[in-house]
Amino acid sequence: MSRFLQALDRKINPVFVKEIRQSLRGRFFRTAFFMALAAAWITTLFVLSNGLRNGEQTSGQWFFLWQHGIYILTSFIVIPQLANRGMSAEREENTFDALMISGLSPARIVMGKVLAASVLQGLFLFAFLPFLSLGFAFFGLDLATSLIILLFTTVGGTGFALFGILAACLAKTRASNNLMQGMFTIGTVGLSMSWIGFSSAVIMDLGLVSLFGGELFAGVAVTLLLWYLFLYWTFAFTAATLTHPEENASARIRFASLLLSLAALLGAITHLSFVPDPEILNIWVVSILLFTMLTHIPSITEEDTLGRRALADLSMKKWRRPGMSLFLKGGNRGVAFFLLSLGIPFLLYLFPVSSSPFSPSVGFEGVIAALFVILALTGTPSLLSSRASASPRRRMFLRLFILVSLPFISLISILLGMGTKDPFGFPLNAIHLITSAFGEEDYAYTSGAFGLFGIFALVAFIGNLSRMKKARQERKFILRSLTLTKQDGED
Amino acid sequence: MTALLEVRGLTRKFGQLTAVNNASFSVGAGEIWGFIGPNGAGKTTTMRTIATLDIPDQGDIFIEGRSVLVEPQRTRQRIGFMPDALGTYADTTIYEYLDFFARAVGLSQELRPQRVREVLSFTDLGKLCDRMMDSLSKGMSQRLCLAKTLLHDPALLILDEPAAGLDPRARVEFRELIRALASQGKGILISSHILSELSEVCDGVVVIEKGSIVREGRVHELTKNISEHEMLFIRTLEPVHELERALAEIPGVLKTRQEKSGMVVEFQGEEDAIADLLQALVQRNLRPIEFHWHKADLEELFLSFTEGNLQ
Repeated sequence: MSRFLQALDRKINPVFVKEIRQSLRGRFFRTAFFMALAAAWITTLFVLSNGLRNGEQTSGQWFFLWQHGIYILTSFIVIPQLANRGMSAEREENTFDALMISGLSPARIVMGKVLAASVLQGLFLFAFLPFLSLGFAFFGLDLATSLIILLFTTVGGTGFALFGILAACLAKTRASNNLMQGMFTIGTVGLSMSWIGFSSAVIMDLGLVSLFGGELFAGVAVTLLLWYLFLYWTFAFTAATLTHPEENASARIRFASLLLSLAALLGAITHLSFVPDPEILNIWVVSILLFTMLTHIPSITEEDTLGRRALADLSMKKWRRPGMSLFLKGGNRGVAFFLLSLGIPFLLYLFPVSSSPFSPSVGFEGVIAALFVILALTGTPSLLSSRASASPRRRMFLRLFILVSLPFISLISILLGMGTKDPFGFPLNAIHLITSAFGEEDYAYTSGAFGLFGIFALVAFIGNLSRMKKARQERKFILRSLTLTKQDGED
Repeated sequence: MTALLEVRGLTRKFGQLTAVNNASFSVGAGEIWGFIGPNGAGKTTTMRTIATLDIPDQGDIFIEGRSVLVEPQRTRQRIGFMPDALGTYADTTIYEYLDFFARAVGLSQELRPQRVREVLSFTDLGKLCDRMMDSLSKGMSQRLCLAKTLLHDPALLILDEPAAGLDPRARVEFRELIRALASQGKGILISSHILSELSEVCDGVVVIEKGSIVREGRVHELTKNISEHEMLFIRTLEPVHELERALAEIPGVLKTRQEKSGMVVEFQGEEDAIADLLQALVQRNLRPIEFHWHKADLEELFLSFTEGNLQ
């Protein structure tokens, strides 16, 4: 038993312990907790008196909706705000540096904070369960639907807590932190309202979700899997922002992106097996391509020292994920990612998952357009960031550009075309290019957008190929020098 | 023998500004080295880079022969970095704070309470372990920061302005703590503006200005060169610029600088020559009302090597 406790003690994340302790003692959590409970009690008394007096057949639905609404507010606003404040306080209180050199890895620090947020979320759920379950005692509430909605609310709350931590990590100064906090608060309030509206419509059975049985189960499972992997990607990105832009931090993001792409492929297969619709296939293909876009995120620093650092981390077995070496500089990642970009979506066309196969020509042009856009918008920044003359600041810009390039370029295109007859007709409009190519409109060819993005994609691909060759040579050199250093140390 | 800390050709740039330019020095085990320079000279940047909180643009740093760039995690286990200000956690006691960092450095359940007690006892904070962090005085905060730095028993201590803001008694106590740590074989690199503090504890000094190391070596060797000179302080009833003009004509005067309402003079010569200097001033109708001299110390050394320019 004591051995088990010792092992458990070693495994417990210190940041998790600290965060829970601070939160439970903190005024913010206690106030929010008691206010939420008070609101739940008041709502209970109000709805009960009204519902019972009127004898409505849907009193259970109304009761659940009110309680669930309060739970959404705590999950989507209070918990993410707690997580956000927990991270931003590290900088404000000058504890950030101490944390960074404490021996805890950035990933462990972020994980500790996320775990703490999920435990606090659990406390809220535990406190609300008696109220929520009371709804089932009345009429009109569908158990399965309510539980699924509750599950999504809970999982969503934990996910938004991670976004709160990310927002705090991205803000490096007090001013940017205030801005981030403001934007984040607006975002969480907006999300809460939207989810309250959507979940209310579902609970009231307004036909927004028409899935049943195995279909419903598969839909929920795939959605949760995608959400989980998206959070994993966000987690990797958050950990990367916490530390210096090491090669391995970017590698973690790429690794998570790969998992996300594969999960999207699984989602596509599941969805298409129930609904064999070419349009759905096309949506999934573009989604997968967008996910693979994230795998191209460049490192901010490509210095030799950082490459050595990453390889040393690997040699110390700090990274034990399969195929991790592929994601390091010179590890053939360019080839791997290109094949991934190309291969995963086309698998769906080549190996149709339903009994009524699609014609290969349906949407094929759209997929090619999407591929061109994605290769151009990810390969070009990747190539530019690999130049020796690129400063870390420029690399940081290029890294973030990849995340926002698609809507950004399209928006710029619309703004440039404002004075013309067709504001959407400017050749830089990447989103319009993809949608029109799927719709078999001639915009792609007449505007020259197809050719424009195609040339960029080709240049980026050829440039990245030569870069990969150089990186492979560097990798060999670094590995050799690392071996020599090790031998020197032993001598 | 491998030095405990070896900084080799360290360069760090922030945009156009070169904060540290090709800095090289080393610190051995059991030695205390002062790191001195004017504000903005690059001390903190160098120290943060040694502590793996920053990455150099060029050069490397070795702790017991291991590069901080190649093996940051491993070298962190050997470094204890004490920043100039202790960050505090809200709603946390001193014991909980130390326990958190003891967990973070990977101390096991059996070792942790013992080690926390040891550092609390060493820094004389044992009786305050249940006190909330935000109620601590500056002196206590510095002690707590040192306690946290010592948790993993590092071989090298990097102390950035540890005596800043301390009252005289706390400074003396802190100095004793540093001596005790050096006697345990730990290498210590300490930056401070209070040079009199450093001169009493340091084996060597590194003087940095505008990002470049201007002097580096053992204190007795560095002061030996300028200790052959006398440092005179002269104040006259006449204006300082007249005194300065007169001093420029007197043989043996090497350097002058204004201090308060008088002049500090670096002078080469025996007692006879000093008497002649005073006589020469009187002959030029200058009336000395304050005069004293002493051998050059660390403060004089610093002022002699630096110009006090900011970047």
